[in-house]
Amino acid sequence: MALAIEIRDLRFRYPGAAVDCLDIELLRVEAGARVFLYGPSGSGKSTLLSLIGGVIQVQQGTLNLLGKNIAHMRPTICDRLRADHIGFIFQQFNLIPYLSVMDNVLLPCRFSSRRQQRALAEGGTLPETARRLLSHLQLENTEHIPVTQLSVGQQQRVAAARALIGKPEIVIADEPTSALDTDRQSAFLDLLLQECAEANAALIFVSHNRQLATQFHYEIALPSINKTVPVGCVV
Amino acid sequence: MSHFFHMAFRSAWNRRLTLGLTLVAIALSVAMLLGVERLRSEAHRGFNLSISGTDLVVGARTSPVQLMLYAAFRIGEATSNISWKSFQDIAQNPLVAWAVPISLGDSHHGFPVMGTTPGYFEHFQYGASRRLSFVKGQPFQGVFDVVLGMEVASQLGYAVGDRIILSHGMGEAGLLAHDDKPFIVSGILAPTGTPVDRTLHISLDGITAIHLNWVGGVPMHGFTIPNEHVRKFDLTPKDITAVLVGIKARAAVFKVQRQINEYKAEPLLAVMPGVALEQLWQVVGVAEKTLLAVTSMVVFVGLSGLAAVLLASLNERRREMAILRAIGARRRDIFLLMVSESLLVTLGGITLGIIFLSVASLALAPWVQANYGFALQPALVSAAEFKLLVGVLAVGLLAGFLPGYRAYQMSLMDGLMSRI
Repeated sequence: MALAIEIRDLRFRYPGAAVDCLDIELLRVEAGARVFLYGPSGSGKSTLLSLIGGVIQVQQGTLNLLGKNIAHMRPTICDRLRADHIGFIFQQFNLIPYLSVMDNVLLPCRFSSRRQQRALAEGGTLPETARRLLSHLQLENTEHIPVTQLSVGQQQRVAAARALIGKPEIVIADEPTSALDTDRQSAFLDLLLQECAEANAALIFVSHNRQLATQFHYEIALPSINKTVPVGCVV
Repeated sequence: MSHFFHMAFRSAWNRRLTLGLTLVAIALSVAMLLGVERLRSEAHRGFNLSISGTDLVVGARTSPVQLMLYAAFRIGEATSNISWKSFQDIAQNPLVAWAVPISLGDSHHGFPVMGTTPGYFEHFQYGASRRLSFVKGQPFQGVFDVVLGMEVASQLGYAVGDRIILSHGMGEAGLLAHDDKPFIVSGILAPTGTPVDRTLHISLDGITAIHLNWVGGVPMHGFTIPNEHVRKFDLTPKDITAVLVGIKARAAVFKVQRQINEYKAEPLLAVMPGVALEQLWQVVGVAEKTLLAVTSMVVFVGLSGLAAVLLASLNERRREMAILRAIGARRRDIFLLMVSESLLVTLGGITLGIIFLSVASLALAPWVQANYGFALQPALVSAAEFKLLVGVLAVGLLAGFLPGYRAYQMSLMDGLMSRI
């Protein structure tokens, strides 16, 4: 099976830090897999995600993204890969406050022509594709509402729509449910899993709430694969 | 790229209050900068167009600039006059084609009164060799005829045939009136955009006539000479203020100038208008450069304010930058976002500044024309102003570099930190 992400002998240390933040021998995520990444805060989750996204540069080791080693790629090429192949959902404040729901959802299509083409390939115009996604995420008739007037749960679902538009191969969700109450957590997770399955995207779902792990293919505990004592990960 | 500027605009619009105030500050400073430049160029243009076809201006010995100012532009007053005999000698010089005497000193509601001969209307030229023409009436013929410049007539509402009382001396108020000898409007000149528009022209005889019963600057008590009797007196003036001279062959200008300057009977000064104006620009050039430097500093202050506002906004926009980075924005895009915002505000400031300036120059044009004798032409942007604006834009661009670089660094540090 094709690999979405493959990490080998990856080490990362923040400038000026005494110890490594990450030291991972092997981490693999298959295409289309649903992975639950667990780790307490400060264990290097955000750093790992930043490395996978190519936002910060790999110092040592191999990081294959859809078969391409991004370890020594130029930053602009990493940026392009991220725009083309990865959708991000954060814990909260995911949306650009001065853009409408529609413009927020379509943002990845502005930065990546590949995402734009794939969104158009689903049939219809970009707004139609976005509207379809929004309605799947139970956000009908919200496209013109200022995002600041949405509830937190609605905002997270808009962020999910943005991460999924143009069918990227990888979706990274960094504690997307921690700002939601328990009922809404599972509802959000259900919708997210369903849409990732439909887009055939690998989902890396980061959380410290292990109760959510049941619906995933497998669980990775970051402390168990990270050989370093994670004291150097606080920036 | 268009969506990028669209987003920069939306982002800026989101912070429209602070950016708007900064924009207004930049607009005001740009209006000041352009205003100084425009006043400078319009003054040069106005003065250079005010007199042409006159080869020499002759007056009592003083500085060439001062002579030009009072004889050609009615700014300031002559310190002393020249005698009628001197004028006759100049006029009879075989190299001189024509000589027109002018006599200044009286006024009417703040407009200068100039005594001259009918030759003035024939020989005086302005702009590109344009001659004076009448919209109504004709040159003065009688002693008490007056020809009005266009602005005098339109501002005071005079028509041909109206009676006018002149005042002794220059100024607006507190002047003694020549109320015993009213003048009749015989003609109105077409507008010229020069000090001629603001002048009342009467004959030299008229100047003499209204001062017949005056001694030492005041009328003699209880002694008036009725208008119909003034002809019985010799109205040949004793002295005049200045002479406008035309030379037969241009090559002889220097020779005539030297002859006049070496005139034995009294100290005279002959200047070529172009040369005197050049001296004037040299004198005021220092002030112009200083003003330009000061207003440039004001623009610089405005743009520094812009850089400060953008820097201050970085913290509240940290989240926005992180989101854009996650979606695929390159660090270069984050830099460009800041720079394009500063360009946007600078461009807005420039546009608003031009509007401010246009409104201000429309409003101030009559006042400038009244006090300084040149017309502020309504214009968008001249070539010299355009150069200044390009400079402003370049500095505005630089003002975006600092916050742009900071944002670039910050996006490097922050990575995808999702909990800012």
